[in-house]
Parts: sequence; C-alpha cells; structure tokens
Amino acid sequence: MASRSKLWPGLSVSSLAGEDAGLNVIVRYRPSAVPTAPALAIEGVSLRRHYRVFPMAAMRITAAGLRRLEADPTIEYIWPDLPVRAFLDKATPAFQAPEVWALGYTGEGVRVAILDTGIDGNHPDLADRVAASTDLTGEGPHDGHGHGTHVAGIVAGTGAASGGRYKGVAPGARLYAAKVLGADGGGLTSTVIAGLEWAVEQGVQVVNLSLGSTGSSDGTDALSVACDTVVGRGIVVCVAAGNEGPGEYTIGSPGAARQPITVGACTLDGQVADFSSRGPTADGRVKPDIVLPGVSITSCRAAGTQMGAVVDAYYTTASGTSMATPMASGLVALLLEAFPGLRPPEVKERLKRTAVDLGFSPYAQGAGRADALRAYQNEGGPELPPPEPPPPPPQRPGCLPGLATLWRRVRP
Amino acid sequence: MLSVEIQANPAARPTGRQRLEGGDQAMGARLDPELRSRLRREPDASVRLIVGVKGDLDALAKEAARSGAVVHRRLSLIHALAIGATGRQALALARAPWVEWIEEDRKVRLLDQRTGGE
Repeated sequence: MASRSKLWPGLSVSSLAGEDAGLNVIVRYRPSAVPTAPALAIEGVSLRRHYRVFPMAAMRITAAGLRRLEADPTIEYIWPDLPVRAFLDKATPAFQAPEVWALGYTGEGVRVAILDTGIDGNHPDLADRVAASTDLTGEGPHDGHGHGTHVAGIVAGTGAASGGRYKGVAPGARLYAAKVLGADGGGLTSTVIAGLEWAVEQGVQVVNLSLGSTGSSDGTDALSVACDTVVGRGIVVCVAAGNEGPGEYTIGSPGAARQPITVGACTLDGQVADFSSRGPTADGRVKPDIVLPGVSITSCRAAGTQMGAVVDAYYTTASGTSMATPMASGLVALLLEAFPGLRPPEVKERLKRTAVDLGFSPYAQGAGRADALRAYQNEGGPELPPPEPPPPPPQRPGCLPGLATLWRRVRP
Repeated sequence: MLSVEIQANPAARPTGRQRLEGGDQAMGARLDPELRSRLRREPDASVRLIVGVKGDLDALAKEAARSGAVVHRRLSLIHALAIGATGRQALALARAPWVEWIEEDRKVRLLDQRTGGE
C-alpha cells in the first residue's frame, strides 16, 4: 500500500527522475517488520548500513527503488540522508563572533597571511580579499588542492556565493597568500620558513599556519624557532595543534612553538575532537593554548578541487585543526581591528584568559574554547601578560637533556 | 597530515634540538645523532637539510656551494641555509666552524582530517 505520508516532504519519485546516480536515504521499518540485511535485495535499492539498535537502514536508491520502498508495507518512513555539517553560520556563533560583528568589527583592513596550498582568488567569497600572493613551490600560484582556499574562507570569506551563510570570521580582513604546500598537500620546512619571511616583508599582522609535522616537539626545531621570531617582530601567529590525538605528547612542529597561539579543535557542542593533538610538548609545556570549532566545517571550495566532502560548486566540508586555526586567525583580526595597539603576547593572553572552560584537561583544551565577545570585552580585567617562563628541562624518558635555549641564539 | 618520515614512534622520539648530544658539538656543528648516523650509513644518498650558520649569509651560501652542496634558500629569519647535499658532504659541513647546527629539512603537511592521517 503506497502512501505519500511515509515520504519526507520534498522527497518523491518525480524528484528522483533523471538521478541515475541515486539518492541516499534512511528508511524506518515498522517495529514488527525489520528485515534481515539479505532481504533487502530490491531492484534499485542498495543497502549502505543496517542499524542494529534502531529499526532503520541507510540505503542508496533510484526512482524505481523509491517507488518499490514506498509501496512496501513494512516500511514506515523514508528520509533523505542529509549531510551533517557545522556550517560557518553555526560555527561562528559557537564562539560569539556575530556578537562582535554587531559591534561593527569585521577585521576590516587587518592583514592576514595564509601559508598553505594557495588561494583561489576567483572564488566569489574571496574576490577582492586577496591583497598579494606568492608561489614558493614552483607549481604556480593556483590552489590545486583546495585546503588553502578552505582555510582562507574560514578567515575572511564574505559568503557571497551563499547569501552570507558561509561567511568567515573576519570578512573584512585582507589576505596574503603564500603557497608553501603543493597540490599533494605536502612541502618542506624550509619552504614554510620562506613563506614566513615573505609574510613579514608584506607587513602582515597575523599569520595562519594550518600545517605541521608529526612527532612530539620541544619547540626548538627550525620551524618553531622561525615562528617565535615572527611573533617577536610583532606579528600574531596562529598554528594548528595537529591531528594526532587523543594521545598525549602528540603536538609536533610548529604547534609546540612557544610564542604562537596553538589551536586545537572542538565540536560545536563543546567536546574536544578526538583527533586534536594533545600536549604536553616534549619538554613538558602546556599546549594547545585554546580550542575552536574544527569538526565538519563548510567553507570555500577551490575551483576544480575535490578536497573534503563537496557540498556544491563553491563549498566543501572538512575537519581538522587546520579548520580550527583560521577561526583563531579571524578572531585575532577582529581584535586587532578593535584594538590596534595590542601586541602578540597580549592577544594570546587575552584569548586564553577569556576562554570558556570546557572541562577538559589543559593538555586537550588549553585554556578552553576562545570566545570573540569575551575577548573583545576583555572579561577578567586588563591584566598584563606574564613573562614567558623559561622552558623546563625535558622530563620524558628518552628525551635527552640538551639545547632548548639554542633558539634564542638565532633570534635577530 | 604531513609527517616526519624518519620517525616511527612520534611520542617516544621528540623532535627539536634538545635531542642533540654534547658529543656532537665537539665535532663542530650540533647535529642530531640519529641524523648523523644516517648520513654516515648512507654517505652517497641525497638529503635536504637546514643549516644554521654564524656569519654573513651570502658569503656562507657560497662557501656551502663550494663544498658541493646545493643551496636552495637563504633563510634570513633564522639565519640558516636550506641545502641539498650528500651524506658525505653534510658530515663535512658539520665540521665547518661557521656551521652552528644542522637539522633535516623535514616534510610538513596540511592538517585536515582527509589527508591528516597519511
């Protein structure tokens, strides 16, 4: 017995006409009629998942398959299997960025360098956002991977191609694109350092590094030292913690660098993401510094790329501390527009002091989830940042005593 | 995610210059003992390195080139050279008085989850 009532509104046989590839759906059976998986061999229907706890199954169906399922008396309801995403319009409210926009701040004119796979400057959301770009890979400046464009959209996308839905954290910011990673997503440490030099020469105020290496670091490797040096020149550097969690001692370089803001990833409901790398650093310091949303984030898709779960021609969804880090860079841009005199240590301290404690270990969440409005309001008072303590001696077995202070020698 | 290919157990083998041993300093540059042993084991293999130097960067880049290394970048931010060399050439460089430290020019990767586990 066929019944329209068992179909989710908008789902119909006619809506599937011409959809040769089919459509993903979730089917709920009448409680007394749950079939075994083999019984689901219906023409036009392929089983994707058979749930054990619920009387439901996930399927891929053609129009003919939907017609048969609709007529099947054992089936109670059919929904489209909608993709689950933390849209930017959900992620930015999670840390109160819209509240700061409402005060008139969009990061207008703040210069943010994105050291990544390049930026698709022809994307509608990024048109006129890219002030300068350079290619340090030899591949050419275009983003052949998509990662850099996704990151750029989180920082400063205008949301033009989505009616403002996928607006970035600081849509007024100006982007400086240094391509330091190739289309395969890889590169060399020395190329990233060259990108840092370029960013310094461009006079940027913020640098975003959604990249890193595996292996616990004590923050004295060349890339970490280079990041510390950039911060010493008055530039805020936001670095990804890494995706090697949930074990401890999984923060590599440059996440272990002392001076940058190291960013871990959390979900919209305030859970630290399993994959987010955990501290301490190899020499025992607390990292990350903060966490921000980095799970299933929808942002700009570079033309012709397939990175992440593609939403449409202009957007794709991805997870990682790569996605949480540009949230921080955008947040910093908002702060620097509002308070141009803030120095990097003050920015870092303010973000940490005003962060929302999510209840996790400091090695997982740092100070907690950064909050744009609380940072703007400087909740907790205008304390001056304490001096950075000297690094403690290595404490882990197998971690040799050594030259943790060597980094100071190479500072200008 | 980009990885350091030489590290099988990241948690057990921290990176950074704290791994350098005093004995390595006696031979001139500070050189990671694991990297040094690899260079000795594979003297003809090519390796990418970052070499911290003391002195004029341009002049020392020419000096490094005279030793047979290929200078890829001058990294003024950390006063270092990014070079390509054989293991034998790298060990010779490590004895030069103007070389302060040497570390592998390690690979880095973007940190999204799709590629993060590579």
